[in-house]
Amino acid sequence: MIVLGMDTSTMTGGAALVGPKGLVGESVLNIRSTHSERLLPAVERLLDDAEVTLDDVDGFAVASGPGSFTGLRIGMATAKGFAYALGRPLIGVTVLEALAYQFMAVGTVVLPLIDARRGQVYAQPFSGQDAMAEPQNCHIDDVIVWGLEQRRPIVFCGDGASVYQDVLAEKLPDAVFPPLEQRALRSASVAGLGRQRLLAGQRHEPMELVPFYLRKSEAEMKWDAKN
Amino acid sequence: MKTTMKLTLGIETSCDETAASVVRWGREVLSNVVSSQVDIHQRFGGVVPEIASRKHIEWILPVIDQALAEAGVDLQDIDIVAATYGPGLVGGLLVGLAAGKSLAFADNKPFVGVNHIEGHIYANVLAHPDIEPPVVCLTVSGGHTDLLYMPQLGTYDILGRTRDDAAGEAFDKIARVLGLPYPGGPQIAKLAEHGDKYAVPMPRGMADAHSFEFSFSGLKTAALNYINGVRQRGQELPLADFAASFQWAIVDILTQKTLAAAVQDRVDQILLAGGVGANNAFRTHLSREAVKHGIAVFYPPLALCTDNAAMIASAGYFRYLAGRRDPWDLNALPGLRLGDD
Ligand SMILES: [Zn+2]
Repeated sequence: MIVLGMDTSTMTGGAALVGPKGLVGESVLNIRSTHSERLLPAVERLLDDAEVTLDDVDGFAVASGPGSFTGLRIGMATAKGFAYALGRPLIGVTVLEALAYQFMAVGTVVLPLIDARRGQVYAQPFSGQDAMAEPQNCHIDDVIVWGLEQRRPIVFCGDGASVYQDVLAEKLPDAVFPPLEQRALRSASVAGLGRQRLLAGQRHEPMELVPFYLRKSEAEMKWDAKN
Repeated sequence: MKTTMKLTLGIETSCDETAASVVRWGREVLSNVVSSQVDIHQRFGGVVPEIASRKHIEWILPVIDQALAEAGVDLQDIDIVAATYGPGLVGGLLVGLAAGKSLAFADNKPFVGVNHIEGHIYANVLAHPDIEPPVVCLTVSGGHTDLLYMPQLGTYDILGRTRDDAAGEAFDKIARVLGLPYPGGPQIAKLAEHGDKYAVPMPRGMADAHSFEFSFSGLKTAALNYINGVRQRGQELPLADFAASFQWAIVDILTQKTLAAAVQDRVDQILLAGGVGANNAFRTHLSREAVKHGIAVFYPPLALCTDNAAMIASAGYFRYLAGRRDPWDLNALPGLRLGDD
């Protein structure tokens, strides 16, 4: 089974093909241009280089969030279009799960952090591939309080790990930071984890899959606060 | 032009309607599905872009699926995919654009991005089978005022546009000063019905017959000065007369220029589009003047005046026939104007 995985959740993003022998190819960029401009050209190049057509792809995986709301929708609309047009299964994996999958072999706590600005992060701790808590939108101080209770090394990844590296390293002596370029979500992880799930029979209905925002829109939050 | 390409799937997500449509030969609407979010945004007092975008990603496939089903065709039968890529709310545009591009990419179909404003012009083409270019077209609303020459469907040259405010903007601004509810255009039109349009003399911007450029800021200022003057003198504003005079200034200049363009370019058809294009006094006056020159005036039926994807499919089809293809890296352009593409 060959799976095309796509990630547009942060500035880093792209596409990857994963098959029975692992990675077939990957295109990941961390540049300013929007995913609207670069996602389909990346998929096209990747397929051309790998000499694979979209018809050969058995399933699609997409990073469902959390992350940039707009970015998530570009990836998801694209993935929905593929799955619908080709009648192939689709699976959404959260960015947090896919990041944890990327580091599952380290044998300690993995804590992906996605920067949500103004001191906020999206976070979910994992031990191996097992989630230790629900995904949360919390303040970086909450992450530190939780981290202090662990008393074992915590691997931080995701763009939030870089934004808050200084404070995390200062407050948490057991914090581990992979090299910068290794911290970002790889589309290969989205494809790999997606493939694992598709093989296990899991899938999402293309008509119904929506991004995992983890946070309401500003307008709704203000409305809730007032009423 | 002969072509075997006949079915276009159109997608429209520039504001708060998620819409998809299948159109045959660019003229015949096989399906026209619109999922409106009006109720959802009501409590916020206007369209909230992030909420609109969230609804678009939820509705985009079901709406497309329904459009195909109602047309009785499969995606494989579609020859061209067209989606709005501007102007509008960027978050919504990106959903429809990404979905449209990906459907076209997956099925090896040509993709065409459509300018939403140009799309509104094609509501005419869908409604009136007898439209035969070359035509002159005036598209005028709260956001733009553009006079176009269309040598054939799918292409156009800009003859002139507004140098400052759009005509609809002037309507809305004056309506606000008068304390009328939004949108102001129809309110002023209503007041004007019982007024004397010659009661209050109003200036015409860029009245030079050799130019097809428009200007409405001078008219706006004159109207504001008149209102302030009356109020300062403690008199009561002759609302109906003022509204009629103000509206007449806009109707008169729009008519003069549109007609002059049609006569100069020797066309016998004029197409209207946009909110101000729906103004009754304008339609009536322009039609009456045009008839004297043997020119017919077309405007879309009410059902096709609101945002829909059939007009996008039609515009996309004729753009395709005119040679337009868009690359996979086409981005959404929230500030897209006519003439930019
Ligand atoms: Zn519109």
